[in-house]
Amino acid sequence: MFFFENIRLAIASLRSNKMRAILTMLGIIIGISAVITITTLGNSLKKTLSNSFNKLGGQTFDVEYRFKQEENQDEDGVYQYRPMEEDDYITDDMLKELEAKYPGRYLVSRSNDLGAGTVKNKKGDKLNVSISGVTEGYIKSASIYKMLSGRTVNNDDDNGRKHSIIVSDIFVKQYFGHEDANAVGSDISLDITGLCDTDFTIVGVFKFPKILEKYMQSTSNFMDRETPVMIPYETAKKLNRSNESNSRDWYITFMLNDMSMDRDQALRDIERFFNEKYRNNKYWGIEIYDPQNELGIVNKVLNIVTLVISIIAAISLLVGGIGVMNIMLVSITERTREIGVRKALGAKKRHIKTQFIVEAIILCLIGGIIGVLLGIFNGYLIGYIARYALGQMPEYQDFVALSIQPSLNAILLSLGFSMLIGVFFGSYPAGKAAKLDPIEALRYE
Amino acid sequence: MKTIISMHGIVKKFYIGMPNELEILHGLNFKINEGEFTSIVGPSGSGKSTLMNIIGALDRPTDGVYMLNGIDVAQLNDSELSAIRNKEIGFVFQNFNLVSRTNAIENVELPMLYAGVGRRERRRRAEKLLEMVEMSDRATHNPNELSGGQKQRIAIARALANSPSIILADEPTGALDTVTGHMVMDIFHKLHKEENKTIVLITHSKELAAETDRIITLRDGKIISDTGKAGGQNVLL
Repeated sequence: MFFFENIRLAIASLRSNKMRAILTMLGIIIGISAVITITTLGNSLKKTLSNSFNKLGGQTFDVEYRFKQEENQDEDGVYQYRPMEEDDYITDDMLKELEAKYPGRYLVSRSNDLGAGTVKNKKGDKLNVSISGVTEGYIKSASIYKMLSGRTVNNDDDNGRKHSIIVSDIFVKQYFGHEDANAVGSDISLDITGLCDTDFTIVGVFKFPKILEKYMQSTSNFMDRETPVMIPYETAKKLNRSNESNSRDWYITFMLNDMSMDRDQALRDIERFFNEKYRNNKYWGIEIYDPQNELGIVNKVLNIVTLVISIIAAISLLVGGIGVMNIMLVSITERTREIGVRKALGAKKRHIKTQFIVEAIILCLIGGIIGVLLGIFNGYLIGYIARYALGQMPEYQDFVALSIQPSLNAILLSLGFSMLIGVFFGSYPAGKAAKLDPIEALRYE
Repeated sequence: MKTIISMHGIVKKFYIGMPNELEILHGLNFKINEGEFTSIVGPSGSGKSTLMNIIGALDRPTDGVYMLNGIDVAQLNDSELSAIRNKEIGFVFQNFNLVSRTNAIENVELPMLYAGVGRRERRRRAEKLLEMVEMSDRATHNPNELSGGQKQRIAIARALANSPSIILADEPTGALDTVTGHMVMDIFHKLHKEENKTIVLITHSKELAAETDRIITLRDGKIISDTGKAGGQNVLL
C-alpha cells in the first residue's frame, strides 16, 4: 500500500517538473536505446543467419570419410596413406541397418555427378545441362529446390535404376518454348557427354534456384543457359560404370525427418553407429561434419561484438545515472521543507528514504522504457532498410529470411539495470534526505 | 485529571562542549493536563521555539525529564520520536506547511499513512475531518488553489488525523488576516470545548493568549509567569 503511494507521489513529483525529468532521463534513454538497438540487431542477425542456414539445408549434416592417420604411422611419425577401396565405402546394407535401427528418423541424401550433357529439342536446339544422380531425400533436404509440378525422383526409381529425370522450369521453357508446358510425362533424349545417349522420362519440374546462376554457365542467350537436371542415384551409378570414382560420393548427407528431435543426440547416434561399423577398418573411418558449427562461430563473434558495444553503451548509462543523482540532490534541496513536514507528521527515516529511492527508480524506469521502445524502433528501422537493400538483390531472396527480433533478455535486463541505476544513484540523495533534521528542514526557506 | 505533558528540569543547550556553548532553556518545570487550552508566550529569543520543538518531540532536551502521555520522550531514538510525533502530536504551523502537489484530503491522510492506517479507513476519517473544518468541498484541491484560511483549516484537520494527545499550534494565525485568524481560533475553541482537546498554542500575541485558559510566559529561557483561569495551579518560579 505504501509502495503504491510512493509511486503515485513519485509520478506527481516528476510531472511537476516534466522538462527537467525528461532531460535527466536523456542519458538513460540514450544508453538503453543504444543497448537495445545493438542487441536487437545482433539477435536479428543471428536469427536471420540461422533461418537462412536452415533454408540452405542447415538442418542437415554430413558423414564424411576420414583416413585414420594416427593408426597408420611408422616409427618416424610419417603416415602411410592408402586410397579408399570398394570395401571402405558406406554400403547400402549399412544404410538399411541404420534405417532399421532408427525407423523414419533420418532422411538419407546422396548425390553423384555425371558431368555435362545436352538435350535436343524439337527445333533442334542443343540445350546444356549438368547432370547429377540424387536419392529421394536430396531435394527434400536441400531446400533451395522447390518442386513446381510432378514429383521428385524416389526410391522406386532408384531401386529399379529407372530413367526418370527432374528438370528446372527454365529447361521446360527452353525445351517446350513456354514454361507452362505440361512437361511431366514427356520423354527427352539425354546425351551424357562421353558416356551415352539415352531416353529419360520427366517426372517432375523444380524451380531454378536463382543462387545457382552464379555457378552455371550463364550467357545472354537464353537458349544457351546451362541448367541442372537430376536422375536417380543408382541409375547414374550404373550409367557411369566406366568411371567408377566419379560415381562415388565423398560424403553422405543426413537430414532429420523430425525437426523436434534433439539434433545433438541424432548426430551422436549416427556417429556411434558408423564408428561401430568402421571399428575394424584399419585405414578409413568416418567423421561428422555439422554445418551448424560454422553458425556457432558466427554467433560467438556476434555475441562478442554485442557485448563490447553494450559495454560502451553502459558508460552512457553511468553518465545518465550521475545525472539522476544530481537532479535528485537538487530535488531534495528544493523539497527540504516538505521533508521536514513529513517528518513532523511522523515519517520515519525509512519512509523518506523509500520515497526518494522510488522516485529515482521511477525516473530511471520511465527513461528505460522510453529507451527500450526507441531501441526496438531503431532495430525495426534498420531492419526495413536492410530488407529494402535485400530487395535489390533478388538472387538472395530465396534463402535469406530476414527476421527482426528484439532480444527479450536484453529488454528485461535493460529495464532491470535501469531500475538498479535508480536504486544505486538514488540511494545517496535519499539517504541525505532521510537524515535531515526536521527542525532545520522545517525552518528551511 | 490526567497529565498529558510533564516537564521537569528541562534544560536545552546548543554547541555543547564548544566555546560558544549556549543554554537556551534553564530547567523548566510545568505540567499540562488533559483538556487544557494553554498558550506559551514570550518575546523572540525567549526559548519559545526551542520549547515547542521539545514539546513536539522534534528535539530532545539536554537534561531533564519530559513525559508525554506517560512516555519518557528524552529516552527515545529517532524512529521512536517519529512514531510519537505521528500518534501523540498534531502540528499546526504558522505557514500551514501543506505538502504541495498533494491535494487537501491526501494531506489530511498523510499522518495516517505513516501510521499504517488502511486506505479505506484513511479516506473515511479524512472525509470526516474535512467535514469538521468545513472543507469537504475543497477535498481534491491542491494547496496552491486554496486561501490561507482554507490551508490552515486543512492543516488543523491533518493535525487531528491520528487523534493525538495534544495539538501543538505554532503561531497558527501569524500568516492570516484578522478575520480569518479569528475563524481559525474559533476552530481551536470549538475543539477545546466540544471535543475536550488538549491544545498548546505558541504565540507572541498577548491578545490571542488571552483567549486561552492558561498562559505560560517565557523570558530568557525561564518561565516568569504561569496564570490560568481553569488550571488554578499557578507555578511561579
